[in-house]
Amino acid sequence: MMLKMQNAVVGMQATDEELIALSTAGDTESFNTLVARWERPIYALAYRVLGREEDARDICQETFLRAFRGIKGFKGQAKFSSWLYRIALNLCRDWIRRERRSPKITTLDAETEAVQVDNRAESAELVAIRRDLGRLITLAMSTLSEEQRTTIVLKEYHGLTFQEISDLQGCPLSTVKTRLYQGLFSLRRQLRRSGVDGPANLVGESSTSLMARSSRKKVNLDR
Amino acid sequence: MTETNVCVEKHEVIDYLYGEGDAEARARVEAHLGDCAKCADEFDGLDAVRKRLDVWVPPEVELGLRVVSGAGQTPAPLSLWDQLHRPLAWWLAAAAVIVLATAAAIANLHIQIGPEGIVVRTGRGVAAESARGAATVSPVSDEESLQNMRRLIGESEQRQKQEVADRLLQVERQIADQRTADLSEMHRAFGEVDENGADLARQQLLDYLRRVSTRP
Repeated sequence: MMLKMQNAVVGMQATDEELIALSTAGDTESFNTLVARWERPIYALAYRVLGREEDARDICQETFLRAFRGIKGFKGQAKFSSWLYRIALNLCRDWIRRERRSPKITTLDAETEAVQVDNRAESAELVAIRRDLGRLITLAMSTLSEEQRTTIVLKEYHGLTFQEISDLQGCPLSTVKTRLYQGLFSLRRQLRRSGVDGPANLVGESSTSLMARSSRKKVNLDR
Repeated sequence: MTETNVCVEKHEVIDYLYGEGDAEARARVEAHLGDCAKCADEFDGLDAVRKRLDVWVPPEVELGLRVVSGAGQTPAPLSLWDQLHRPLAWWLAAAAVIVLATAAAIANLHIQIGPEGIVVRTGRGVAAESARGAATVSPVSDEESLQNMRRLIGESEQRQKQEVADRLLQVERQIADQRTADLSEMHRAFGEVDENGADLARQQLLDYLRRVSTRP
């Protein structure tokens, strides 16, 4: 039991490359350590690209299953995370094509839970403001093209470099930057229409007005 | 700097926004933003959007994914179609047995030309006879080999029949289970419609029934 715990600790401290080498040699536990390390980012990526919790979970599961099956073919040309992102994005793209629909906006109730409260000491009003702003951003993101949304997600939430995004999306660097610019520009326009503009100062944004605007936009944008 | 009025290249703005690009280009953009109020406003707007994005967080879910040993090689569960076609494997196995038995019979083919005319012998008896080096008749005759083959084929057929019967029973049970589940779902949905009386729910129920009726 003690040995198992020690192995688990060692596993968590090992680098991706070390764990990949062990996984390739058939050590399933090492692969599971990689899964534990990367499942959350992959799920978050799929959720933000697809906009649906259940599908994001399925994509996440399928990503790791494919990675497990193909781990012997992974020669370390790219970072392990980039490899996973590539698998996940391909699955997301297939999903979107198969379903032939844009990412669906989740219900307001579900979205309420989607906003995490990091600081427990935040006032109730601030929490409400963050929640409403989260809804507006969800709606605004859903109006972007798949490419623009994916580019923003990879840059803003996963911290990939322009070159990494370019490699993942198979497009020139200039295209990545254009998508980013146009996506942010479009988001700004959408948020401005919802009454959110100016410096990002949450305290200055009224919760009730945000809520009212949020409901109004949902009627317009929901599909 | 907007889409209609670009003072600075978009890629330069993006580089500046994310703190990338070479120092010279950054200095150029910075100087321009100091001079051009419109571009400065656009830049501040994009920067503000970036800062607001952090409130968009996916729902907290318990993923806990784990790969169990050999999961990659685990075959997918058989579909109904596959199960119905599985007896084909038994037929193939039976054919293979017949081929093997025939091959075993002709493996020791022995042709003798003598005063009795042409004598052709097959089967283990010939081998045994050769081994003994005597001109005695084989103790295992062709008739016996034939009987063995018939017995093997008979057993194989029996197994196939049993297998087909088991599969049909299994399929029947699955259909019955599915039907029970569908009926209970319909009852539940009818209850909801009665309680709410909502047209929307009624429409959803009709859609569901339509889907159920088209299931194979």
